Amino acid sequence: MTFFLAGIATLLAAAVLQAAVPRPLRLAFFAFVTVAGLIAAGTGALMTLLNGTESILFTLPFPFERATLELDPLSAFFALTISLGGIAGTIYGVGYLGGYPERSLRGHLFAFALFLVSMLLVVTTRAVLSFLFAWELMSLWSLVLLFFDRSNDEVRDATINYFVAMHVAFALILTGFLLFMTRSGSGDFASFSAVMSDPSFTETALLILFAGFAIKAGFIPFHSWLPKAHPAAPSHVSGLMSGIMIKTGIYGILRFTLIVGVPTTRFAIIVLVVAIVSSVVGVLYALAQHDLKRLLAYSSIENIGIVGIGIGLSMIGMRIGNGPLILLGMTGALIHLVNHSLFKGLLFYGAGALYRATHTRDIDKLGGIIGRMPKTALLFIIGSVAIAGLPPLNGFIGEFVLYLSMLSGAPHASGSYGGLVVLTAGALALTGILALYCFTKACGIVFLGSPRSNAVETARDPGGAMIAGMTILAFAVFVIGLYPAPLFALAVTVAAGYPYPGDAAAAAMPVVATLGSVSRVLLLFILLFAFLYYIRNRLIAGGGGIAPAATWGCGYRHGTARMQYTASSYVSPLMTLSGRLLGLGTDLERPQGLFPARTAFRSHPHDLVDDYLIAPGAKLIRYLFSLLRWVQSGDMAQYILYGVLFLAAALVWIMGGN
Amino acid sequence: MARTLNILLLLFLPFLMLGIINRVKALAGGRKGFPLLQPFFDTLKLLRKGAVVSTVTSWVFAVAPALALAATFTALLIAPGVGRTQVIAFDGDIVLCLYLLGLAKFFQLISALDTGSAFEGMGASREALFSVIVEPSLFIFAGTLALVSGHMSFGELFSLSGGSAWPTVAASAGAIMLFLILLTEGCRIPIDDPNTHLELTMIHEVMILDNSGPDLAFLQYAAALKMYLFATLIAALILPADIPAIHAAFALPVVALLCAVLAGLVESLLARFRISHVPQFLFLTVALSLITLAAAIYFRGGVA
Repeated sequence: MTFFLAGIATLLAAAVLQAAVPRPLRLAFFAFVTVAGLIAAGTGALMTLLNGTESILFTLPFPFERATLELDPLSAFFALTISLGGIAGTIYGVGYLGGYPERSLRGHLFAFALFLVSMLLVVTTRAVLSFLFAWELMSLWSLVLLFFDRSNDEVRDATINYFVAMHVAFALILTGFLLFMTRSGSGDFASFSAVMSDPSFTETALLILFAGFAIKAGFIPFHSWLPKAHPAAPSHVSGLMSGIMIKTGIYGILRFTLIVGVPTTRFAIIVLVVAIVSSVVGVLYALAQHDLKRLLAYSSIENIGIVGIGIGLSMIGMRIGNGPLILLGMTGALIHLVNHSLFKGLLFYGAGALYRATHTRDIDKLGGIIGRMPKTALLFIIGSVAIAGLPPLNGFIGEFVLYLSMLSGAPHASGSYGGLVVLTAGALALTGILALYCFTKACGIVFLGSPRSNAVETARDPGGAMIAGMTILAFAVFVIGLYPAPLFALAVTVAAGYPYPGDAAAAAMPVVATLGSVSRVLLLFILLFAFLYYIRNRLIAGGGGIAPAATWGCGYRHGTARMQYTASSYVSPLMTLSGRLLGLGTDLERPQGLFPARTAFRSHPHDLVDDYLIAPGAKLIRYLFSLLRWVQSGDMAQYILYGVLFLAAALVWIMGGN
Repeated sequence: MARTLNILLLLFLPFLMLGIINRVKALAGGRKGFPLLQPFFDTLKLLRKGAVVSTVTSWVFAVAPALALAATFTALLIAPGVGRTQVIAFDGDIVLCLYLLGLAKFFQLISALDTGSAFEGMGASREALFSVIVEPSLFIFAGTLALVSGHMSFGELFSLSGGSAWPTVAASAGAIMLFLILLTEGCRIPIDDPNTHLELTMIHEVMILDNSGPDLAFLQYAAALKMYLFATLIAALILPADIPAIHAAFALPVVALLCAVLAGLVESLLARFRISHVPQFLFLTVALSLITLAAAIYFRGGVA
């Protein structure tokens, strides 16, 4: 706990002191102090995970009364994730901000450090007011970070959109808390467990809380802000928002599950279904995108869905007393959550480096980057393999544990629950293979082939700090993929806090052995690959070497780069198949006349939730407010009349009171 | 002993399957066909050659064949072989096996995109789409077997038991599903035509259009191995659990070769589907896996 508090103090110091440092040294100073603070906070969290819960009580002035900061395993796990992601994000971010020498960045860095602090506070406070305070700070500072490129209309719209979405979430969370407080009579989270005696009341309150947290986490259909905000933010911020911040929504769901205990069946199934829809539809939408950062944003929704699948399975497991579902579902969710923060940060940072170099996010304008930005390309491909859930990288580990939970949980689940679990496995497999499709598109079309436009010509790898930030993440992606046991052990520590029939630690032992077998097979695979690649090179050298040639064009020698498959054509068969679910809009300008001069085809992905839920909802709200528009007519006489009426009413009320 | 045999079979049977498919097609078409082990000799010949590599390509194109072969071979070490023994077995190994195939697919897809050829992009796009449909059926089927048996390792999962009609239902639905997947992943008619001469109608062949020499050999072997993998799964599913070891050693090759004969007959009797109709055909695998799941729930004692 001491380390953790020291870390927070250091971050606050970084926020303030950087303003006094001269501009040329400011970024380096900020990076150094912030990383030190995050290392301290992360160490504190790790020590708690290894040693057990610690808490500290602050007495704050009105209105907070008392605020408890507590690091239990759940809090510590999230604090550790935030610290790890924050370290890479800070290093990369400082490199990225180096490209804006004309800006003072005082405000941006201040917001950056406070954003990290507020996230650490969100996962450690234990009472309604201090939680809401930290939560709101997190939303507001991220809003400041998001609004970096102020001259851009898209950024401004996304910022306003984000602002509204976060406050709808805030209102929902507040309502949920107030409902709990009416029964418990206290703002301490711990007191909320007393409400359990009334399951239907708890369920309602939990559902409202879930909706609020789901907006933050980006579950479909609560996700509308996410694909707008992530592309608009500068890439170091997108990486942090997507990698870490949306996980605080998951934290909220997990925290209240922990407090309230076994959820109702209906609640568990709602969570599972929302999660499955988020993962499958999220990745389908990701496939349809032409904008690289929008693609990554939708893929975050997919991954939050995968995390949610684990949580949903775990909740169902608690309901029906199914050990493997509870333990491995939760563990898989937590492992995937950490993994996602690593590889999604990596991918967003890669996309930022690309944007810096080419000034476009349009996948169809890129291509052939690998020759010009070899380091970024390698790092992005590593991230893509990881996010597709493929061995030997970390994305596989989380999904593997989830499959284990389903394969070992299903036989012990009675009747239709067994079927539900098996179908969930099918949904996870579908998500996995769609993610493979999506990220072969992302790295294949962007980095490989020939350049599709001259935006690519000037592309160069970014400087040291940006590459360093990405390399840290890529390294973690490999280490966890090949040696998952430590992360698994940490996740089990957290999962053991949930209602489990029997000894959770003992039940986790065989899984550790299984993960060991996985590691050995993966090492065997890597050795086999290295051997085959060596043999291949020897064979080619012995057989006459490599003869360079043009790509085979079926005898046609004058193919151009524009004849390559594009992002849209690559996914077009699937788009046709999924039809209206994707709402892919198309404009076709047909060739006209005997000698057609031009023809054009455009496709633009829609979001059904935006089209059929958010847009009509906004229209309705606008209409309702327009009914009240006469109140503010601009006519001074009318306003004076309001004043007179108010005074008269006040007079009557006071007189009546006497 | 069984494990050594498994590995030995991996080196020859996949090629022999290709030879048999060709021989069946030849006989059905009134031709003689090439020697049964010709695919094996072709591969050896390719290994002795240099390579022509497009100047557009990067390291991805160079590593993909070795990586795909390594991943597929490792997956085969996990798959049930003679008498359902696996060279490597642990809980949930089926997931690793299928995901290793996914890794091979990932690199084959991006290697095709690496050439910057419209044809290879097209092949990659179709290959990816077909996997999207097939993959969930495999996992639903595997999950269903786990649901009934309580086992988690490949060999045990696929050895069906039970007094009721369950083993018959699961084995027949599963075998048909796996055979359809064998045709898909093995790039056979009616999904794909390995012998077509027009790039526009190819799927797998067009993806490896620019590979040559040892790279092409690796990819051809990996493709043959993948087809053999599904044949071993069919064998594990339909062969009785309690046959003597010596018979098991013959049973697996016999089933694999029968699969090849059947695939050859399908190729002789059917034409390739229109590409736009292939997904509808492949949804049959999803349907079969769901039928198995429904049967499993029924035989477990109904919906609670």
